Amino acid sequence: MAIEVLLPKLGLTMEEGTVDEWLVNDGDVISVGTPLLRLATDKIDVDVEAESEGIIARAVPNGTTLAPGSVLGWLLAPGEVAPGEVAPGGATAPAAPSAPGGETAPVALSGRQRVSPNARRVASELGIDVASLRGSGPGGRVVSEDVEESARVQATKVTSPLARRDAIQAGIDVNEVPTDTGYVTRKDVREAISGHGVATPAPSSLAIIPPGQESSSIIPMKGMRGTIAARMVQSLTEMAQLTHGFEVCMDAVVELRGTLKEQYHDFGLQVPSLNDFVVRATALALRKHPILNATITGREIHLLRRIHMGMAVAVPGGLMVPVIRDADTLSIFDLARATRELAESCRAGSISLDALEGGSFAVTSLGTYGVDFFTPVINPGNVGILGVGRLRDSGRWDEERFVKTQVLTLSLTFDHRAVDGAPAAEFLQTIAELLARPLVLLPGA
Amino acid sequence: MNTRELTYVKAFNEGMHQIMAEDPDVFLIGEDVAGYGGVFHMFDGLLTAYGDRRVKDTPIAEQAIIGVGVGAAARGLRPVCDLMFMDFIGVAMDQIFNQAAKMKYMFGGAVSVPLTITTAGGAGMSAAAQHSQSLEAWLAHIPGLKVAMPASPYDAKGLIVGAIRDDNPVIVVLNKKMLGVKGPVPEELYAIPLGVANVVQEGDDVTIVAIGRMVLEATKAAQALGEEGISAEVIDPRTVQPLDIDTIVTSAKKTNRVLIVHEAVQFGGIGAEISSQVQESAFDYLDAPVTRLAAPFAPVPYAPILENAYIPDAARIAAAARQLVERS
Repeated sequence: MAIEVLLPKLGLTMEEGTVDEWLVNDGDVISVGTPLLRLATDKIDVDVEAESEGIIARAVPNGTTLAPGSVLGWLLAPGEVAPGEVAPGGATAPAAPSAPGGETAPVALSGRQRVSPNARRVASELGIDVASLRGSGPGGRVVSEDVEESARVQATKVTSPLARRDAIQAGIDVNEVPTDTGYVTRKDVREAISGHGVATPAPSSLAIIPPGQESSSIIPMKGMRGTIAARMVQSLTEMAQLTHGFEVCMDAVVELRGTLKEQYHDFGLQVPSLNDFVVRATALALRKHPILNATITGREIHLLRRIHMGMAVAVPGGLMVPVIRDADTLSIFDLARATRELAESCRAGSISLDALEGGSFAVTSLGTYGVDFFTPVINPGNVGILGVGRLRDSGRWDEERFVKTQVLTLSLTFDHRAVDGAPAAEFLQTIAELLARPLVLLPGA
Repeated sequence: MNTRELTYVKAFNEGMHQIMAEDPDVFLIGEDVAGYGGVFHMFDGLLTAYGDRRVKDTPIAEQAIIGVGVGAAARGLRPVCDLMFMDFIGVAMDQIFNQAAKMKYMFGGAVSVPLTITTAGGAGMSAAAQHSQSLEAWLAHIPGLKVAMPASPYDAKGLIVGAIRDDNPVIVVLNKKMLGVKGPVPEELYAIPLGVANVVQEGDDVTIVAIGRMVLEATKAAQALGEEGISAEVIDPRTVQPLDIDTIVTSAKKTNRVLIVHEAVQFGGIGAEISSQVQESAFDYLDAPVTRLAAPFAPVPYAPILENAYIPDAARIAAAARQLVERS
């Protein structure tokens, strides 16, 4: 059966599109995904991909302007004749497409839009114009799901049916697949899937550049960028996040590190970083405050037995969060080594997917950038993340004497659904107490 | 309520025993029903239990069997007349559709005919064209007749009891190929009211209305579909006359897609009636044409390979359901 190639509707406001240029010739054997033609609209130009395979028969010449849903051509089985049999050889004589009531011959011949009664009912309830919908049902019929999906996405994001199927199979929402064109192709879906299976909700589905502006360069929200975008939006929309700022005294740690540096120097031993001490203290504090080492599933908070620490690592173009498993059992030296190795493999791009999954809490540091307090965003699946600020000089009164101390600010973001303000503060206090007694932090287990 | 596994035929047999014990007006006649217990052993033990006044073998004379039943029923007894194979019903048709079905109407309600006719229908046993038919549409077409088609051991017992207690002529069509099918059956006497469908399995994506043995196949198909993520609702009307169209329409409005399966030929079958009523009552809820899957318009073949191809099965039901829910 001839499969219609239709002019896609690329946006809510799209009323017509022009066949800028056919990229294939009549009689070409087309496989799925082959770009068939370049379509121009008032906003963007896109390549229309073949959604099925077959032998192409073009129904309209270059330059034809038609409404979305119009038939542009057919994909035929071998030996099959195009419906309506337009004059062969591409010498079609389409009526002036803009003339209303004009004889848009190919469209009229096979263009009756098929809409299920249920789709019509649902569309009228939801106030949606079925004429704007692409049918995904058998024979291209618009079914109620098409209407519902369209209603769900306020700004209709047009997808190729195959892209939609792939997305469904991969368990991702096709409407959140990032696309450069507004038209989601299988390629976009594949890229979204390879971006760790998370799709990006484009911040604005109607990616329109403000009038009077032009892009100097375009950064696709794909791969890692897409993952970050999706995770962060998911995190901030699904959780009740708030952040405590908490100043901790680091004198004891600084002093111990000084001693270690001095004594280790001749042996070439590595001295754990300030951050390593904070991570170690956090891992131990999580043992005492399991509510922060938890995950929320549906209506349940699951306290997790094992403490797998996510470590935010900045890499060019983004950020990764490798995971140190059973971080609470490691000595600070093992922890330091694991941290270093993971950070290196992140930067080298050799990190495995396994090492990026399963974190039950995370620590992120902006101290080296001079940041004191900030509001880290919780990795979806966790209920907390600890931000480590800059080590800075401060002072305190010791009796009548003002003494110099060194402090840093911890920024604990927690999910208020699971953790209340006071327990979160107690967790920070535990960390502070541990950092005041850094020898406790040296051994593992 | 004590429940255990019984075969379809044992469940039916238990229903017969219990209703005969409960109601002395119930008696049974038919070919080989007494001494032999019925060709399918539906009536085993009844002769011993209730004696030869209430359990009688007859000559091979279907018209007479039903005629006796009609007369006895009109006079207040509750006869069960067995016709062995459904294919033999033609011989007795005048008694069934001109007498049993019409009396109450023609005598202004002064006479009722609480007659139960039992018979076995359905293909799949290589019993050839004269012993394999599904003729329920014939019977359901006659005002005054009720037609029950039990599709489980539970229903075999509950529907025979419901039929015998009903004050109108009821034909209970057992399925030959289901006789050995096992299922949970309560020990005590119970009746299933005629005209109440059974939602065998709930689902959201597609409604499969199946009749008789096709309920089993539809349930298997629904399982396979479920593994693919398609949630099928399986409805067994239990009686095709009266037909519980409300349950079907409710389901159709929920799933928006309806497939009807029976092993009678498709042309003019119960599926056509259900399909028509669904579109009359739920047109605006349909996302796909109501689809029928039934036997081709041909006699039931004798050769097993042909016969298998003739009767819908789980694979074909699943395929038809997939087509209904398909989205490209």
